[in-house]
Amino acid sequence: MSLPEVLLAIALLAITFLSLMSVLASGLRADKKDYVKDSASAAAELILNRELRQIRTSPAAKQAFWNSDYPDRNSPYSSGLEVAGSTEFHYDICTRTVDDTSGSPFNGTEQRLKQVEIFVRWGGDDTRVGFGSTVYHELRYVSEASDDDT
Amino acid sequence: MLPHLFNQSRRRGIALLTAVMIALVMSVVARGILHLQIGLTSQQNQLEKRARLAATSGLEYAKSQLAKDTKWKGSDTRGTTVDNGRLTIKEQDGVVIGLMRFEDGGQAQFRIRFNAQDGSGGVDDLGDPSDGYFVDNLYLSMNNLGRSSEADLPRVRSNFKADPSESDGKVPGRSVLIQVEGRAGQGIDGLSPAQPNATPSGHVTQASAQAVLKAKLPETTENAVLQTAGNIDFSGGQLEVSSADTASPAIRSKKKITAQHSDSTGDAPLSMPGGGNVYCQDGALGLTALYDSNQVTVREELPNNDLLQISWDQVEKAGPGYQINAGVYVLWPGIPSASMTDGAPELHYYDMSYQEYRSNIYEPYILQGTLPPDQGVVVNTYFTNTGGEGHGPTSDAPKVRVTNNQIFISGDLTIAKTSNTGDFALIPLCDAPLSSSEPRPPLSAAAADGKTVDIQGGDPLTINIMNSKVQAQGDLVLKGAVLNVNDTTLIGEQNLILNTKSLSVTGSGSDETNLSLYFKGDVTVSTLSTASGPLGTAGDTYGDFSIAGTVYSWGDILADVGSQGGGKFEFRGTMVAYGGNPDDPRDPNSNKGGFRLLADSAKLIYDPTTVTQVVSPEDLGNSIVFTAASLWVK
Repeated sequence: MSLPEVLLAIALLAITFLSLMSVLASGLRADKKDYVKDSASAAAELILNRELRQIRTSPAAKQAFWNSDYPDRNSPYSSGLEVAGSTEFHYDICTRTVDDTSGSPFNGTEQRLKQVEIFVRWGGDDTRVGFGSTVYHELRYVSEASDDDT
Repeated sequence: MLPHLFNQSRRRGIALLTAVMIALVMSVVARGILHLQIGLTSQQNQLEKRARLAATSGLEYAKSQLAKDTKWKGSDTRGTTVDNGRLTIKEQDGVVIGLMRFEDGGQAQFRIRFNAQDGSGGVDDLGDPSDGYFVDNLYLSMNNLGRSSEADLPRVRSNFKADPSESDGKVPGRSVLIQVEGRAGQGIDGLSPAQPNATPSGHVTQASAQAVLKAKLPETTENAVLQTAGNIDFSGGQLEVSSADTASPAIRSKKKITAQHSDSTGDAPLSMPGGGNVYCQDGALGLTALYDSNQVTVREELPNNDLLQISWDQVEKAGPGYQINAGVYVLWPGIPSASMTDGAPELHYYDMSYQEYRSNIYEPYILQGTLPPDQGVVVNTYFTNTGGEGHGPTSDAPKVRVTNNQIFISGDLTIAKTSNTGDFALIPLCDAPLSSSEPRPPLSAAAADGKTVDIQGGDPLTINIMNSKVQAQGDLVLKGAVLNVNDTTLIGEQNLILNTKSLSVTGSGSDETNLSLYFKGDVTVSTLSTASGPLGTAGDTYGDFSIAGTVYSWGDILADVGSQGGGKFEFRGTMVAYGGNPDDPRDPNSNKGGFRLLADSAKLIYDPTTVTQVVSPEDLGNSIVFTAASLWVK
């Protein structure tokens, strides 16, 4: 085996090895992100169910929830920290009364609908968008005429 | 040899190198596939969740619409009810289509269909949906709030048309079945608000939310299974209070609450296993019972907190079903014939009030062992004393029927007031004593011709009331040895006296309401079964009493199920002894509105949905809310 052949073989091996490491690393990062995102999804459901149950059982919380809107993440209806395993999730809940096509609250004052959004973030940077985003977002609608934990 | 060996060695080296490289490449490919799989699974999880969120959001939308209009079934005249950039909802022809937009640009859709898509008319009384609203799923919803009886849900065939000839289950009375389909995925992302029900082009993930919704009044004060203007007195073994609702249960009295053992051994235990509240006058000073303060929170009942108000006008009355004359109907055992063989039992009618019957017929004659000279009018088979056109039962479906010792009532029954009385009493000849101390007639009574009637024996009176509202303008008295009831409401403008040693109640399902009571006077219930023989004969027993519904009295509620060693009392729903007309200002000095219960043990389970058996949801006003009696999200 000539020296160039040996060098070529080593180079090929090195390139392949480095490629493999790179792919493995990115794969692990992506897997971890998927895992954390699934955890964030579960945390979002848990938090929202807890908050909505509180709204249904506490007259004061119910009044605060239905009588005002908190559509801005900088001034949310509710925010806090939820720990799942070793991951810390920071959450913000934003609310907005659903209007009908005339711009009035849908169905008046006792059967309104509320848009409820929860933003769950992990890590320090939640400004990234797209694939690199570390924010999980969930949206649902709740009725003022509801008295269960749907 | 050397060149050959060298070549062999070089080939081995190349083979080794090739093998290592292939292994590395395969590892990379395998890792990539694994990563792709994990990513796809996570993405699919997110889509499934969005589809579920859409389905449950559609369910919430339905609750808002139903609270506004209890007859709602997806035909809001506004057409497009919401269109705000994040949510678009369109309704037409019994079909609701919603399109939700998420922050990342993704969308989710919900669809609700009341339309059976079975052509003009049909089971839904709707024509087929117009273009753009045809729904290609099997999730048919049905609004049955307006009826107290269950309805058949037609099966939806694979062509998405409902077939009423085959049932896909039952929708309970006073309920709405809402089935919502939620969808998300690339195909849904491509839909536009203008055509939210267009055929998706691309991958779609589906979920569904199915719920049986029941209406209830929101509690403005407390979730109390028992609310009284007067004292609450329990005498017996133990009293347990719990809730079938999400809220903690409570019992409330404007006066005092006492639970004591009937054998004079002291206070009886009051338990609230899931925690709850007791409200009474003077707070803890007003409660006498054995209780765990970690479980039972005692509070003061505030004078300004009113009890649940259900006015007479709100009560859903008996419809124009069958009508019979007011009076007292007495089941006589068979009178021996000339050959001394027993005849068939007969129903004898007296056009008088129950108290008049007691004073003029029962006490002076039957109780003394003599058959009365006034034996009333025999009205066998169809209570035919009423006569007249329009009152008689149809030959194929009699509403009221007497067969030997059995009385059958099905459908609504109103009692026509006569010039003498508005009472309606169905009783046996021995008139079933309500308490062990009440005098009872001798075993037999002699007629003028020397024949005797077996007063305390014979076949016992059995009363069967099915899917009915029975409404009397006076007292309502039912004293059957056996009382079989299914989805029934008893309504009266005076008192109720109910006595049966064997109560059998059934509803549309195990958790459905089955017997509700609304009376302007007192409600008295007893399950005493007296032993045959003279007063004092050993062997008097008490049966159990278990119903689910709403019990509302303007007066007192008295239930005798036998104290310790007697029967069990179980009630699910809401029970109110208002102590007056709920339309009038409360009189704080009234001595009415008390509750007295004697039972070996008692369970009171709060369930606010039972109120719709007494009041139609559309008469509950705009403040009603909906709760899912059952819910599946998948």
